[in-house]
Amino acid sequence: MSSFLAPIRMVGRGALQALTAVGRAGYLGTDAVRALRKVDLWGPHLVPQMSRIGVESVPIALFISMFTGVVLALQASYTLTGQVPLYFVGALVGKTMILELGPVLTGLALSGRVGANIAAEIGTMRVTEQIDALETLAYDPVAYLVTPRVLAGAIMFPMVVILSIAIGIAAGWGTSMALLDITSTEFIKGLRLFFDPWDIQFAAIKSITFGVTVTAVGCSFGFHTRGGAEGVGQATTRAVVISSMIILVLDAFWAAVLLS
Amino acid sequence: MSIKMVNVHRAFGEKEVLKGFSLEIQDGTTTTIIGGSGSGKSVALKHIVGLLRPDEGNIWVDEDNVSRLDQESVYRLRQRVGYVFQFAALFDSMTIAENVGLGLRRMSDFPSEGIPDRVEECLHLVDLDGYGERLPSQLSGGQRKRAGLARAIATKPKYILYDEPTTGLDPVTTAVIDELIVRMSEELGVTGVVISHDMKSVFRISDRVAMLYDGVIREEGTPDQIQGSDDPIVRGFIEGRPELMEGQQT
Amino acid sequence: MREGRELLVGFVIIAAVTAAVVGTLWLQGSNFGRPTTTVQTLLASVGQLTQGNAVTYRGVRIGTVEAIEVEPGGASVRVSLLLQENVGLPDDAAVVLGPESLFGAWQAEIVSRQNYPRYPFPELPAGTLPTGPHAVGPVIPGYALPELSRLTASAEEISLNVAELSERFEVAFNQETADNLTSAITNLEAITQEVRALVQTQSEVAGAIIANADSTLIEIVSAARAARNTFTRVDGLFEDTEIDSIVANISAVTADLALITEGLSGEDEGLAATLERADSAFTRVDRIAARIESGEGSLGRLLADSTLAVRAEEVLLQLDLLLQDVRENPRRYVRLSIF
Ligand SMILES: Nc1ncnc2c1ncn2[C@@H]1O[C@H](COP(=O)(O)OP(=O)(O)OP(=O)(O)O)[C@@H](O)[C@H]1O
Ligand SMILES: [Mg+2]
Repeated sequence: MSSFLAPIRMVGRGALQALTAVGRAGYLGTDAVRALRKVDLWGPHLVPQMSRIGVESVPIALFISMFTGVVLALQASYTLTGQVPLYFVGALVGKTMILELGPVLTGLALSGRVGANIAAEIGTMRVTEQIDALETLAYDPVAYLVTPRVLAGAIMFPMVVILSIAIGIAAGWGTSMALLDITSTEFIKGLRLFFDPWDIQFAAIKSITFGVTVTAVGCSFGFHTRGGAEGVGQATTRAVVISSMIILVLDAFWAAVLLS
Repeated sequence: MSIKMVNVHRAFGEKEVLKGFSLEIQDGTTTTIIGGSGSGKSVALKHIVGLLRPDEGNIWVDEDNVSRLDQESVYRLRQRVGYVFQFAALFDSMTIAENVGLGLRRMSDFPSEGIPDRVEECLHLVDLDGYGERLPSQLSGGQRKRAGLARAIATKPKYILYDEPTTGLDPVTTAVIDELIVRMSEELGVTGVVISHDMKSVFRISDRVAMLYDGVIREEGTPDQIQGSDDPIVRGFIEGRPELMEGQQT
Repeated sequence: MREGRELLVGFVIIAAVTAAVVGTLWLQGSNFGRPTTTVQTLLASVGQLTQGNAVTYRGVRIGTVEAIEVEPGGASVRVSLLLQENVGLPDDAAVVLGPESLFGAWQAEIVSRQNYPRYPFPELPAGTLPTGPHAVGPVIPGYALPELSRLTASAEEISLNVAELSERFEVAFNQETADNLTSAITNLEAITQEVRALVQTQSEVAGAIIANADSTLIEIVSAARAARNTFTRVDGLFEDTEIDSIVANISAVTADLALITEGLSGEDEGLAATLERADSAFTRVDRIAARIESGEGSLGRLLADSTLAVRAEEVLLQLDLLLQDVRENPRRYVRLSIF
C-alpha cells in the first residue's frame, strides 16, 4: 500500500466504522424497543435514568443556551443595521433558538455529557463481565440497561430542550433590554411576528430523536466495548463523535422533511 | 440429566480457542477443568450458559441444546445455573446485599420478603457476615470473589459453574471455599464445574478432573487417574514441570 | 433519596411542559381564558391577511384573526375575528385590512365607517347573519387596502396628469392666476413629497414591484421631461390672446383633475390625506378658470412672478429624484426576507 493511498484508505475506514456504529446502534435501539414489554426489568430504572439523563443535564443545557441567547441578540442587532427595524432581534433570537440552536446545541452538549457517561458506564460493565453476570442471573441486559436509558432520553431530551429554549429567549430578551436599544415591547413584538406553534413541535420531535440517538449510540458503544480501560476510553470518545455526527445529520434531515 | 459438550469449536477472529472440545459432566458430581492460562477454560465454561455461542458443535444442558435455544429459553435455563466469575463481576452500583439478592428477585416463585434472610444466609456461608451494606469497591479482591460466589449460590441452582473460585485467596479461606463447594455437592446435590489452578484444591474437591490442552480435553478421569497419568503433558502440568511438556505438541 | 429524585424529575417535566404550553399560547397572543366574542366581516379580498394575525382597534391589539373562508357563492370572503369581550365597537364599525409594519404580517383594524367615506366597503344587506363554527356576534363590512403596486400606478397617473396640466398652462394667465398657480404648484410639490414618503414607507410588497416600477418610472420620467419643456415655453406666453381657447382648455384641465381625484380615491390612509390636499389645489385651479372666464386681470402679468417656472421645475425635479432613488436603491423598496 503506497503512502499516497493511505489517507484515502483512512477515509474509507472511518466511513465504514461510522456506518457500522450507526447500524449497531440501530439494532440495539430496535432491541430496546422490543424489550419494552419487559416492564419489570426496565420499570424500576426509568426514573433514576430520567434523573441522570434529564435532570442532571439541565444546568449545563441552561448554561449553554443562556449564553447562546445573549450572543444571538448581540449579533442580531449588529447585523440588522440600517433599514431593518430593531425589533427583528426578537424574531431572530426566538426563531433561531426554537428551530435550531435550542435542540442542536443541547443535543450536542448532552451527547458529550450523557452519551459519554452511558458509554463509559456500560463499557465498564462489559469489560468487567458485569453484563455477562446479568445474563447469568437471567436478566436481559438490553431490557435492564438499554431500554430505560433510551426511554429516559426520549422523554427527557425534549424537556431539557424546551427549558433551554425558554432560557435562551429570556437571555436574549434581557440582553436586548440591558445592552441594546430595544424595549421589551419591541422584542416581544419581533418574537411574535414569525412565531408558529408548529415550531415548538418541530423542536420537540427533533429533540426526541436526538435523545434516542445519544442514548442508543452510547449504549451500543458500551455494549461493544473490547479490552480494558483503554477500550472503555475509546468507546466513550467514539460514542460522542458518532452521536454528534448523527445529530447533525438528523438535524438536516428533519429540516428537509418537516420544514419544506 | 447432565451437561454434555460435544465437539465444540470456537474461534475469536483468527485465533482458534476450542478445537473440538468434548466433555460430559454427570449430575451430582463435581468436575474440575485444569489447563494453562489462556487455554480456553473460561471460554468453555461460558458456552454452558450461552454467554458464548459455538461456531460448531453442541452443548446440552439437561434436554436443552444451548446453542439452538432462543433467547427466552436461554434465560429460563440460566435460572437453573449459577455462575461464579473469575473476577467476581459484581455490579458496582449496588451494595453486596443487592448483588446477592438480584437473582432471587428474578425468580417468580421466591417470595420477596424472604430475600433478606436468604442473602444473609449466603453471605454467612462465604464468611462475609455484616458486609451486606458495603459497595463492591469497599471490599478486597478475595472478599469480592466470595461475594460473587454468594450471588451464584443464592438462587440454589442445580448447576454451579465456578471460574477460579479460590485463586488469590489465603490458604484458610481457600479451605473454607473448598469445603463450601463440597457441601453444595453433597448436601444439596449440586452439579459443579470448577476451573482451578490450585492442585491441592483440585484433588480435594473433585469427583472428576479434565485437562484442557490445545483446544481439546487432553485427558479426563478421577483425581487418582489424573495424578497417575503417564501423559507427559498432564504430568508436566500438574507437577509444574514445563520441561516434561516441551516437544510434546500433538 | 428516591423520592427526592422522583420529585426532581417530575418538577423538570412539569416545568418544561408548562413552558411549552404557556410559551406557545403567549407567543400566539392568546388572551389566556379572558372572555371573548366573535365578529365576522365580509370583504372582497383579504390581501395578505392570514389566520392568527392581530386585530386592532384605535391602535390597540384586541384580538386575532380566527378563520378565513371564501363564501359559498365565491363572491366574498368571510373573516372571523376573535375579540376581547369588553371592547365596545362603534355602531358603524368596519374592518380595514392592511400591513401592520414594513416587514411583518397584516392586521385587521376595526374602524368607524364615517372616518373613511372613500373606502369602498361592501353594502351588507340588513340582517346578514354570522355563519360557520364562529357564528356569534355581528357581521360588519371590510375592505383590504391595495398593495404598493397599485400605489405606484397611482403615482404614474398623477405624473401623467401633471404633464397634461402643464401643457394646458401654455395658454393663459394673469398675475392673480400666477399667484394662485404658484400656491397650487407648491401644493403639488407637497403632494409629490408625500407620495414619495408614502412609497418609501409602504414598500412591504415591493418584491414583485421592481420590474413593474421600472416601466412605470420610465413613463413618469418622460412625462416629467415633457412637462419641463412646457414650462420653459410658458416664458413665451406674453402675447397670447386666444382667451376663449384658454378658457376652454382650463375647463378641460379641471375636468381632468376631477378625474384624477376620482381615480385616486380610497387608495390608502396616507394617500387619502394627500388627496385632500390635492383636492384643495384643484379647487384653486377651478377658481383660476372662473376668473379667466370672467376676463379679470391681464396675461401680460403672468410671468412677472418669475418664481413660477422655477417652482414648477422643482416639482418635476423631485419626481425625477424619486425615480432615481428607486433605481439606485431598489433594496429600500424591496421586501426584506429573512426566514
Ligand atoms: N471475548 C473474547 N474476544 C477475543 N478473544 C477472547 C475472548 N475471550 C477469550 N478470548 C481469548 O481466548 C483465549 C482463552 O481465554 P480464556 O479466558 O478462556 O482463558 P483461560 O483458560 O480462562 O485462562 P486463565 O486461566 O488465565 O483464566 C485467550 O487467548 C483469550 O485471549
Ligand atoms: Mg479464565
